[in-house]
Amino acid sequence: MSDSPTGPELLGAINYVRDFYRNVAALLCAADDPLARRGYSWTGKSWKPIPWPEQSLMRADTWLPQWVIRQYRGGKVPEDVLTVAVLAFDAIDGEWTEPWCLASRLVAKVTPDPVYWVSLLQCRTLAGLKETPSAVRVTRGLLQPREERFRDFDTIVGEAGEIISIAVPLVQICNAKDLETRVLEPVLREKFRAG
Amino acid sequence: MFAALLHGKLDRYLTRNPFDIEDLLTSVVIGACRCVPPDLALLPFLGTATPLDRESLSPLLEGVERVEYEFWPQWGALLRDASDAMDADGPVMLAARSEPEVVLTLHRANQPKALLLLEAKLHSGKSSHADGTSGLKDQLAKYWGQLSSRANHSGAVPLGVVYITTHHLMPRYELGQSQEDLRNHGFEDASIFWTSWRAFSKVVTSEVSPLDECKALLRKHWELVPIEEPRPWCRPPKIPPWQPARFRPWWSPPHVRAWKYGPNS
Repeated sequence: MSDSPTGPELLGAINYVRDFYRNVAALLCAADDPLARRGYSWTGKSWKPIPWPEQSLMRADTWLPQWVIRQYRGGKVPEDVLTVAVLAFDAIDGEWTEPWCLASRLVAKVTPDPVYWVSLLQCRTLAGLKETPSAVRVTRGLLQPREERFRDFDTIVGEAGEIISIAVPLVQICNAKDLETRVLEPVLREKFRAG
Repeated sequence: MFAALLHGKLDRYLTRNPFDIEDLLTSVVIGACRCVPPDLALLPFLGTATPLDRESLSPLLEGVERVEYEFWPQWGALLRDASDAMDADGPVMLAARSEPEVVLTLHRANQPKALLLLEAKLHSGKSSHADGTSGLKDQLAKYWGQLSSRANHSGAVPLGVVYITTHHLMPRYELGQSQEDLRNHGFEDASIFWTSWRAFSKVVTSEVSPLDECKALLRKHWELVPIEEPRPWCRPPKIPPWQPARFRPWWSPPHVRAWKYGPNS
């Protein structure tokens, strides 16, 4: 029994998680201002930025939000879509060691539902394994060899296109200024080579 | 209404979540403003409205002594050859029939009365957009045309159209679309302003009823509050290593009986 936590300790942990997500939401909303100055506007209306919380009891091991996403569009056609996200944990990869703050940009031919996450898929494997985070380019050839990845990429980005992404450890992004300079600006600085 | 909403008394009678109803939001917030002097709620709230690349609406609201509220007025179409075109020397406007949320008549000291139109949104964007055909089709552009025409006829000043949304920041693209539609039809830029429902709780500091209830509804049910600043991450609390015990029910499941026509049949 001596190893058991006290009630206040357990409650403290739960409150910590609650505060974590509240702060994640505040952090992502802090992207509104710098992105509005660059011509992007938030367009999330019906899509849920925190997916599937309603599965709470049926899938008790996966209900905690893994991704928290806020997506912006440049308002042009084809659309310049910029996704800012916090990836809190990986429900599958137990080796993964820390949460990340991500930004990913693509020029979308069309914007079906997968546009909300297709640009982020490669962030963890390609952009998140560097000591000094910087923007990386994801092309079709770098995708995980899975049929649905290629299908979504071809549908949304196009075969000649690319995705520009960055992943920065979340603990390094402590305020709105960090978010702007270390996450948003690196992906906005890069130009698309093709597509 | 406020008390019933706050305590969830209406939910079960409605087939739709009341807090998804845009008109209810308008009615609650602007209706609450109507119950108190304008300088307590309405004017501070509308004073937060800003247009694209111009000064805020606030200076134009100075000297307002009294406000008349008209909710959901039915406005007929402005036809191309109608005598009530906005400017007899300029381009003649064509705008379809409209039903804006609220039209305010502002009575100001030593100035002509002014008309201000409020267009409110909750989950949706503008209901109509420019489609390349003749006439103003963009919702805000159309309202500006209608408001200008009606103000001219009544000897009032068309102060502007205020687009109220849930955004944290101005949806510049939507406002830009409206100005573009006006320009494409030969009109100068309109006085179209934007503010967010989130600004209400920030600038309306009075705690008198029904403003207090209104702010509670915005906070608890619509979640339309100003966004917090992000904070530095703090260290999680330390918890001793612990594995939760496997859950075992502490009671036997009750015997379940089912009946087709009810227990007494």
